[in-house]
Amino acid sequence: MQIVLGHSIAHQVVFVGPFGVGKTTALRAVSDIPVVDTDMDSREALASPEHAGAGKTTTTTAFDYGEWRFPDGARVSLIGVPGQERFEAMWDAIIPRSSAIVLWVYGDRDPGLLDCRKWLQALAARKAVARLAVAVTRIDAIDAEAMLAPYRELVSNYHPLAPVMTADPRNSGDVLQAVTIALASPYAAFERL
Amino acid sequence: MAFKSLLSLRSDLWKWQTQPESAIWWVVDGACEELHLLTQALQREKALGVTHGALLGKEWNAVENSIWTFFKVPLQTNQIFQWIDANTRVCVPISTAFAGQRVRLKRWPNISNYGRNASTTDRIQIAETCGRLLMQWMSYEELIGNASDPATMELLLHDAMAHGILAVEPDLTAAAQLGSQSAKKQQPLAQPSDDRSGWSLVRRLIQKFK
Repeated sequence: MQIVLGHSIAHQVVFVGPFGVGKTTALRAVSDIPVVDTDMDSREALASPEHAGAGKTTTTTAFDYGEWRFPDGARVSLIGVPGQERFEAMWDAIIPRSSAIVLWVYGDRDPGLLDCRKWLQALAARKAVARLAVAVTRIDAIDAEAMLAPYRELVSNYHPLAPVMTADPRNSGDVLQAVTIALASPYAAFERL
Repeated sequence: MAFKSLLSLRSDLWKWQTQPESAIWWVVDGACEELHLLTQALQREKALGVTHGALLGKEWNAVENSIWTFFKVPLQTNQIFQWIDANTRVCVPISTAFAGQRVRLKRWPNISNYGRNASTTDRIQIAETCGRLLMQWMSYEELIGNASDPATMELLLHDAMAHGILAVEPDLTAAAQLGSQSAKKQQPLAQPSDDRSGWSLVRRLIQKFK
């Protein structure tokens, strides 16, 4: 009989960001176990032509859970939290326990920067900005540097070395790079010591 | 037609193909009914060699797979040209620009630009290397020597230099280490009696029973 104490998870990375940005999609893109989700039909998703048009009719109500194994064998648990403020209790329960945060934000909408600021404030209030990567979605690779500039400026107010990158939540390579840079961030390493 | 007109503004010569498999550059209308089939075909072509796919549409939602580069209509000349230039850019050869130097990043580059066609392991390695480059200086030779994809790392360094986020200085430590290594080579070899390896123990054990 094999006795197992504790578990093999080395890191816990939490995906945060506004409703519909692609947190659950990102998690599903990389998880190597079946994702446990708490998706429920959402009136706000159905009411929004943009979300409904894109086939999004549900929202996460508690959290999504997946796992992924680094090539060196280290396991990372991946947790997606709901984007709406009414689920703030889940943020309080999960964010402070995380090894790193990936903040997913819209890059193609006017409130994208505003959303980003709101989330940075929420993370700062939970002392979680030191372990952060910002993934900006829906940006053409061609325009990336110019489009990322205002995000970099904003994020640097909270964390001078936080990585800001373009990422497609459907692309597993992009998602894994976001997870890796969140964990490899110098400031994150400092905090884990 | 708009895309064709834009290309005519460039000095390159373009030959138009009717069969997608014959072309290196694919330009597709996002509203195309056969988009799913074209996506699968592009994935196959990309696996075989260098093929670039542009998807034109009014909404980003038209992109069903990230294998396509999306261009919103009406098309912007500079965006199309930048896409072509970026994909025709010849990989920077392992140059002597950073030879004998050590480098350090001042901030994270847009890391998803690098290794788009690379394996997951390679993409993670690029991210980890950038993390190290933010924390410490690394010699250029060590960096390139350890990179699983040296050409991508070289490109990243050149882009970082162009964006002003790469610090470069002479690698004095490497020169000093080189000096000390040559001095060590001149020292006498350790005597066999000092050999504390596992084999030494085995040999002594055999001697005992002889």
